[in-house]
Amino acid sequence: MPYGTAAVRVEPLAGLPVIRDLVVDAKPFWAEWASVKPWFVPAEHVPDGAMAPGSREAVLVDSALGCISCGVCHASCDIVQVGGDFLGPAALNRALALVADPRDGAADERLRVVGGRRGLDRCHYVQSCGSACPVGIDPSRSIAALRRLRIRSRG
Amino acid sequence: MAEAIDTLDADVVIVGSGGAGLMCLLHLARRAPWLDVTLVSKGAVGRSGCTRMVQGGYNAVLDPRDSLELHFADTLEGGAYLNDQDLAWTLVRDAPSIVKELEEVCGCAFDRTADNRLHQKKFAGQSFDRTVHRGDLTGIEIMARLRDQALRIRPRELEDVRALDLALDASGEVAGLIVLDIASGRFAVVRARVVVVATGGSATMYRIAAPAREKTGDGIAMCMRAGLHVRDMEMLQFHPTGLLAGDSLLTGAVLEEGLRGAGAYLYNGNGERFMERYDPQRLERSTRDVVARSSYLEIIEGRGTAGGGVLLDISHLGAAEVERQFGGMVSRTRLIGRDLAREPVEVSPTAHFQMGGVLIDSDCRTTAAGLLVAGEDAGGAHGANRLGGNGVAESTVFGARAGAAAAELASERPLRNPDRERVHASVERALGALGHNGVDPDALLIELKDVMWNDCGLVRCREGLLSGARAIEEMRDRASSLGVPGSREWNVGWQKALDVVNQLEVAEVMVASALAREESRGAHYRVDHPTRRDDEWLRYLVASRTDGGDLELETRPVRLTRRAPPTRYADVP
Repeated sequence: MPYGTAAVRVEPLAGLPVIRDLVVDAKPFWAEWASVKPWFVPAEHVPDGAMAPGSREAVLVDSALGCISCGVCHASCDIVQVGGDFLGPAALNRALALVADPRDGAADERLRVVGGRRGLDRCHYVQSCGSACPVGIDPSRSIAALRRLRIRSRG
Repeated sequence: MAEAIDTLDADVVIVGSGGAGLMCLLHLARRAPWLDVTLVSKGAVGRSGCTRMVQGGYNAVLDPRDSLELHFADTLEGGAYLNDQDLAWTLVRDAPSIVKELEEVCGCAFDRTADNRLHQKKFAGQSFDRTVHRGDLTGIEIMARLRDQALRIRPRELEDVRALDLALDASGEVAGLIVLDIASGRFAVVRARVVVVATGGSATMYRIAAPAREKTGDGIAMCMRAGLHVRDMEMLQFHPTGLLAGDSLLTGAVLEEGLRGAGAYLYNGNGERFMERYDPQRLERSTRDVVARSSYLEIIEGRGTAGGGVLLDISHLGAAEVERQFGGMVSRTRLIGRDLAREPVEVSPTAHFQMGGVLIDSDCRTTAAGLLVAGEDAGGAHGANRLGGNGVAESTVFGARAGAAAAELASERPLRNPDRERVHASVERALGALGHNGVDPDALLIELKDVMWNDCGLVRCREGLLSGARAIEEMRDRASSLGVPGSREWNVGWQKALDVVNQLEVAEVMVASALAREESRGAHYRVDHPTRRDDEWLRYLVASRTDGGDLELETRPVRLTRRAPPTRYADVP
């Protein structure tokens, strides 16, 4: 915000039902988050040297971590705003962090979910999510990475 | 008209969704996945409490050159030998397996070394670099991954629901929990075979304070109302480097200990590196209690900055290096228009962590059958002062143990019927402040924060504590006339009224304990009794309330079962 700003307009977070005043119901956000199977599933076999610092996979996973699940990217997303049936940037970013991690064993299942009707292909790359994120994550990059991984897994 | 009260049943009810509560859930679900578990959280599950605010990291012995004995000795030295040694040993012994579980089972991404081992950083008061971390914002990663596990386990989640009191049956046995749904304003009784209390401490009652504001001593207050004993309540840790940001809520937020570990300097308002006078050997890397008290003395003796603080400066490492190692802290200072990477930043000691709490054994059992307490609500593991990096270790280690203990207990204990009179008394007490004008909870809290800061803060004396005790007694009188207009639904003022009652109850115990301990040890410093007295005071204070609500204090000897202080401090020549 520019120095000397005198008035700031505050509204409830967009894209979620308002309960009262500034309080919104975050359940839809968490339902989307939960639908990508966001929990780690330890792989039966982890390749030696997996996630070595500086490795391509470690850099990719790292770029998607640190999410504070504040829902700001969700609120900034045009597809979410128009009521598009969309998993949203935060959930897809979480999916990437797991799909790209060789220690995790449920990538195929997650790729099926994010490749489905409510998933990756709904994103039109307006990229408001990345500019809105308060901790510097760019979910649209994660979505692009998931699209590449989806193609690779089909091949 | 009698208030309508919902009833629901569970095998286990967990209060609190921080590190202790969610780790309890994880271990409970592993041991006994068939159990019906209810998770009660005053805020959003996994986003409340202080584990999420952990910056520095997690102490665990992982390197073959380190040892459990060393970590244990550091913990006791840090705790000035007031620790319950069984609890401290349990913490140290279990921490390596729990941190591995967080990584390998929950998928937490901790920083790794070039040869792909867990990186362990330097923290104050420790003889080995053993603090596992993810950058300088470790708690976000741990809590996010534990929250994801909770989404897999799917307990019944009661979010934005606060616990009011333990429900007891007619014979006084633990029968469950009395709760209030903040959103609807409706009350409910959760009947449960086992209750796990993990709500966190109450350092929010100080003028400058670090913890999440929902932490208002609810667990300790309700356990004491149910007749449980607490210990070490005079032991409240101040972190030396809380941010000063005017009236902003960021005031009090911690700038992490790793900054001093990495070589940051502290200057007073005259530009002097004042730690040279207080601890010439360890300087800024001295333990939290020493650095916090030194800064405080500089400030009250008139050598502080204009804003009432001291200056923390790490810019000599170079902006790029500071940004690389402490990105989270740098952006935190930039939020208030300062830049830690390039300039000194004004800081003050900030109330941070409650060492004291409910008496437990190493499986989190209390003297009340069916009641377990884990995390900051419990006392004993840290003694008189907690080491940085031992907090999240405590909450996850003991959370896990509470989960295992709850699984076992739930198969043995029947559901009991809560005594209706007690339930209604608790509900009536909560309703007392609602729907009319009266004493303003915000004003009362501000008063309490000043009393605790001035009279029961970093430097204490008998006169101050007596005056604090009188002020709190008088405030507790006024608290019976608290009043908040408006309806029940999402009434923030009403919730604050319920908070401040708990804060006052805990404050009373803290002041009484601080008055009774006539020596200085760890976080507790008495200017009128400035030395540590191992000859008389290797004893811990235990407090409880009588049926009439009066406070009773006794002392018990610390059992030096594993290690005695190598140097005995005494007031004799």
